[in-house]
This record gives sequence, structure tokens and C-alpha cells, in this order.
Amino acid sequence: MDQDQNSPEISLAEQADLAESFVRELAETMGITLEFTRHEMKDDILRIEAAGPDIGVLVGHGGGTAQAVDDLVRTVLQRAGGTIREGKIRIDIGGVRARRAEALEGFARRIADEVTETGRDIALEPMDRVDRKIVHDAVAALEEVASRSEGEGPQRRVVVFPSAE
Amino acid sequence: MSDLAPTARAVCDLVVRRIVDHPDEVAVAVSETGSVVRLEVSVADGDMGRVIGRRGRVAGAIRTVVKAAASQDDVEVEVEFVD
Repeated sequence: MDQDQNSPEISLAEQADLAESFVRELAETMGITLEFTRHEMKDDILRIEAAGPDIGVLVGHGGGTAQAVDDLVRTVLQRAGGTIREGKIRIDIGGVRARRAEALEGFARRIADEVTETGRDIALEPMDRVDRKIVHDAVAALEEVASRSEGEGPQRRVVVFPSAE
Repeated sequence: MSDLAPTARAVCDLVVRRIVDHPDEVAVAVSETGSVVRLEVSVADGDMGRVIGRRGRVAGAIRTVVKAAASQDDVEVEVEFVD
């Protein structure tokens, strides 16, 4: 908040154009042609999925390169409009983010089952805010369990617990 | 020299220029040590913080993407940020 106070806020559509042109240019420099599709998600999140025949280079081992591209997009957007809040635009290289979210939801439901069976809290590994939100949303859809976040910074983690009857 | 890891260099140059306030002051120097190509990135004084990022996250992302680009050149690269 203390820096870039004078940067104008830019609209979600402008952010999307900027994100897309950055990733397109990056891919073209690597000799890769991408197609982009935009998906409006809940909570005003715009997921931009990039696809193409040679997308694997940008996905990387375990999606590591895809995550790095998303980090760089966020940095580019912060520079363009210093006041934007983190995380409205999500670049999803090769759809890994969507698949990862599905896997994480499944994991959250299995943890929830375990909490329901044992009646005990389960603390998950530390996760970033995006992943925590996916877990919280998955847990919120279930009746027998609830969730909260604990810890600070990189140690912040989700705790799933039985909801009060 | 100019034919060492051209894709990695171009990607490194592009990415760093897009995130700094002074793109004209970005320079990427290339050297070769054995089988490893070293990219030494220098930026304007005030831009180093942005290029490194909180907990080195931006620098890590740049390294990851540049290494991916280097696979197109069939070489191994190291990226260093120099003052």
C-alpha cells in the first residue's frame, strides 16, 4: 500500500489483456503458439486458460513452470496497476490449475471424511492462500465439518474440525 | 558468444524488462563455464527489489521460466542477478 500509490487502478478486462499479451509474448519467444480462453469463476476470479500443442514446455515438471509463469504474471500486473488486489486473474497454463483444484477438492473431502469418522481435528500442510481457499470452499459444502486457517505467513495452514452439533 | 542459449537469453531479457520500472537499463550478459551457460542479469538500482521479490519468489520464477526456455536450446543455464 505504501508504494505505487499513484498508479492508476486497472480494470479486470485490462488486466486480462495485459496478462494474456505477456504470456503470448513469452511463449512466442520460446517458439510456442498458444490459444487463450477466459473463464469467469466465482468471487470475481477470471481464469485464463492457455493451451497449445507444445504447452508442456511451459507446464514443466509437476506444474512448476506453470506456477512460475503465474507468479510472473502477477508481478507484471502489480507493476502495471500498483493498487490491484492480489489474485483476480489466474493464468492457467495447460489447464493444470483446474486439474489441481479438482484434486485438492477431492483431498479436502477425504480429510473431511476422516474428521467426521474420528471426531478429531486435522491440520493440513501449509498452503498458499489460493489453495487454502479451495479447501475452505470444499469443506464449507459439507455439513459435519468446518475449517479455519492457523499460523502466519508461509506456515499458514488449514485445520479441518468437526462442526458443533 | 551470441549463439549461446538464444532462447533462454531472449526469454530472460523479455521477462525482466516486463517487470522493472527501467527496462532500458536491463542487461543480460552471457558466459560459458564448461557445459553450463551463465546469464548475468543487471537492472537499474531501484529495480533489484522487484526482480528478486518477496522471499526471492520473483527471482525463482524467472529462473524456472528461463530454464524451461533453455530446454529449447538444449543447454543448461544458470541465472544470476548482479548488482
